[in-house]
Amino acid sequence: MRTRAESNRQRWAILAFAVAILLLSFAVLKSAYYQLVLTQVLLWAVLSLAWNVLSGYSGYFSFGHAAFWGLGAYTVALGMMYFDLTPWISIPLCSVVGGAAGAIIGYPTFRLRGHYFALAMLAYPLATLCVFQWLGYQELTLPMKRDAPLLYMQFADPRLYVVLALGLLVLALLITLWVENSRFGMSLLAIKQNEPAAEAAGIDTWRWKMLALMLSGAIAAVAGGLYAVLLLVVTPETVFGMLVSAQALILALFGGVGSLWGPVIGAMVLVPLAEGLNAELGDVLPGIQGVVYGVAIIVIILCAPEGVYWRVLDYLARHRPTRRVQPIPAAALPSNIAPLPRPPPARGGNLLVLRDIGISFGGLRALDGIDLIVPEGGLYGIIGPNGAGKTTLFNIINGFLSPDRGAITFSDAPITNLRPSQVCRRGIGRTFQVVRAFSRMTVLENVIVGAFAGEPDDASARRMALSALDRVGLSAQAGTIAGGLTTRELRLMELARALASHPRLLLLDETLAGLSHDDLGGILAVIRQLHDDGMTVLIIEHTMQAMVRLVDHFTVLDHGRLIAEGRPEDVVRDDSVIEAYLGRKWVDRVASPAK
Amino acid sequence: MTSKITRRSVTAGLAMGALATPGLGIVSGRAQTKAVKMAMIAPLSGPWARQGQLLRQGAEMAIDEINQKGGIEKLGGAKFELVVGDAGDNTEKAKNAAQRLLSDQPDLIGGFGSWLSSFTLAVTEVTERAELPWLTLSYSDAITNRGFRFIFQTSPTADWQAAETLPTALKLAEAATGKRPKTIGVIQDNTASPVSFGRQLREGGGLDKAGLKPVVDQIFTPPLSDATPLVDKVRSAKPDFLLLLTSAMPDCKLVLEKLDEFKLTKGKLPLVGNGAVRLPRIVEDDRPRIA
Repeated sequence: MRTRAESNRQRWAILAFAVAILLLSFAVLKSAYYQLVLTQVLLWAVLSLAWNVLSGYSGYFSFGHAAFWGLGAYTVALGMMYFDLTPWISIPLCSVVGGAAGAIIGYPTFRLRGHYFALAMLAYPLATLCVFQWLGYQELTLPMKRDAPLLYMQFADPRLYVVLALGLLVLALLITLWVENSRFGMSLLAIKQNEPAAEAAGIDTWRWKMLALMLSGAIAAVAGGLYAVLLLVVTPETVFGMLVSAQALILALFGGVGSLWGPVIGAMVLVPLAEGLNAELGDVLPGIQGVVYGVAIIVIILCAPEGVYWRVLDYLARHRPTRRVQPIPAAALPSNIAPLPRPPPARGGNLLVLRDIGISFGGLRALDGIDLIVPEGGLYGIIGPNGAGKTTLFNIINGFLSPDRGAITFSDAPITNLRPSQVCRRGIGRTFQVVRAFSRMTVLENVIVGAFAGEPDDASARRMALSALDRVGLSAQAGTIAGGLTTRELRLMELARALASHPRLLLLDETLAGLSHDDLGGILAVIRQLHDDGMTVLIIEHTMQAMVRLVDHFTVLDHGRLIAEGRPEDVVRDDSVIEAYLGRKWVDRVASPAK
Repeated sequence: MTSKITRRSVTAGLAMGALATPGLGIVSGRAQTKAVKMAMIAPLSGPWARQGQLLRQGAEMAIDEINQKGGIEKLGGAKFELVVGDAGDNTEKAKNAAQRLLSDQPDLIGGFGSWLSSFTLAVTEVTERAELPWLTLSYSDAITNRGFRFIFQTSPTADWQAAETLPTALKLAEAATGKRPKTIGVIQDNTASPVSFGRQLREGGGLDKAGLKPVVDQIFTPPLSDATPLVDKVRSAKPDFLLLLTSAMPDCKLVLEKLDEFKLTKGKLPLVGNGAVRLPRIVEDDRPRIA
């Protein structure tokens, strides 16, 4: 998320860019041919930006943006042919068509991830292509309107097309900027880096992904509509073909994925390059233009794997070190920090109730008939040997898994089978056995993502995140990139992320694992402080000594069954617990210590 | 109908035809001995490159011939000059090529191309606005249905072809086999020209009028990777004759080779085709089989 000053600077940059293009079009370029190519550059940049909104930020790569582009083009062409609809109306209408197509495509396709998603997306334009061929729309031409050319966007002056395409590009840039600067973009970035963590932190990943695809589809369709007006001829191969999808992808990869200017840079360089090669070499050495274009792309990708934009940014950063992300000075913090709302005082009631929870993975009974009651304000520990089912129990509570049987109620409301983000919004925060950080975001941004669940507006989410960081003692590291933290800091950051969503119950999964003795003390102090402030905590742990000192109630799991529970000092003397941990032999030794 | 007219003679004819177009009258007065520039936009790269090369060869031969004979007599011996643009493999490239040629060469007197009717449609959107006379042998109906004033189609349109071809084809088939055909097989690709041809046959009542029953009706999307399923259907349905409508040479060749492999050539199954069937390469290579 950018600061206000930064996003203002970006707005000025967009304005400067628009003025430069207008100057180029009206003062420099004389021939209609160059105007045509410039218009194409701008339109392809819009398509690539649309692709970037989905794929650049959320990491869900789409090989199928031609579907939206083509639907836009056909909306304009068919509208004009059959309903005499002017593009002035049908192009805005394309955004509705594209958005709806995004929803229809996203609904089944977001069940897939990674390469599977990318490959499934590939199918949509290819299938649509066949549909339009079957419908008999092999060649559509936009009828020439000699009597009212302006009404139908048929300008004699090619510069007017440049102006239209530029307007569209500026709009796409502003939308992208808005996405980047809002919780929309932050949520997508969180999804890109660690989707389960984002879901557990209260981000409704499904909703944001769908919104991103619909927005992306709408922008791409509008650009496709204008493309039809520019080209005047629409064929399925030209608008649904692989080349269109590839173009969207290549331009963004070349310029810089996940950046505002990357797709624009890609289009400004590659589109004229391809067209220039076509023009200069096409009739001399037919086919060579494709080879040169391919080689140019390979060379750039080798030299700047993340794209030109990021490469240049890194270069500038190295030569102007003062512009790097700076840690937020600790002294500046307190004035911003709102006090973290404390959970309501303990009513003594039962906050979390599990009844007869069971789940099997194939033949393995991971959990079998677990009953657990956690009272409001309790500090409960779950222990058990490896494979006892502790983390599975957490995954069931926070919604990653659905139990085969049993019911969970939280604060007297059933939460069985809710999605993790919904569970989080009800007031259950969690951390993970292996820290799931958004490693390329700053510590503060990591925690802000967690704060979205409880805060309707972005500014208060930021304040809440700062407050949560203050509470775990990590304020000094707020500006650091999460990838560079120590294990202790990562654990604290994850704790702060969970805290930022105003939980009433914290699920801590082996928060103490892998820490040195000194670090352990620090984290224990934080947990105890949270408990003293009224937070209910359920903690999984191996480290028995630490646990005995910390919690006031133990639940022991072994082979998916609950074998003992009660006060820590009683539980550690329980025969079945000793057997589970150490074996039969030790039970005998405890029974007759004299031997 | 494997026409005797080769692409070469057609293009040569086109180049000559340009002289007769109305736009020229204006130019001739001041042209004197200045070269007369004629544009050709055709696919020189991509899947239709072969057709583009042939167009170009034809045009160059025709121009050489005219120039060697002393140029254009009525213009004081002015020489012809060919300006070539590559239409590439999609309509965007085709339109760009047209816009570029028009911007770079303000003194063009006319042009021709661009084989595939989609490309021709895109190119003529530019040339029509520049009021440049354009000749084409693309035969999609859309080309002349737009109300354009500067486009001249030398081939009969698809509707017309479909309407006129069948009686002739029937006569040919009758002559070859000795009896009037009752059934027909159609194999075509789904590019624009064969589709509008096929539309006239099926929906326009062309088949009904000729009293033909389609026993095989196969439409494929180019490029064809294997013609076996198509030809297998032909073999089992045994139509009295086969109509082959393909726009790209490789597809056409695949079908012909497969027909040969299935022993359906050499007079066993009369074959009537247009489009790519007329290309010299096919005619030279496959004459023994088709005959």
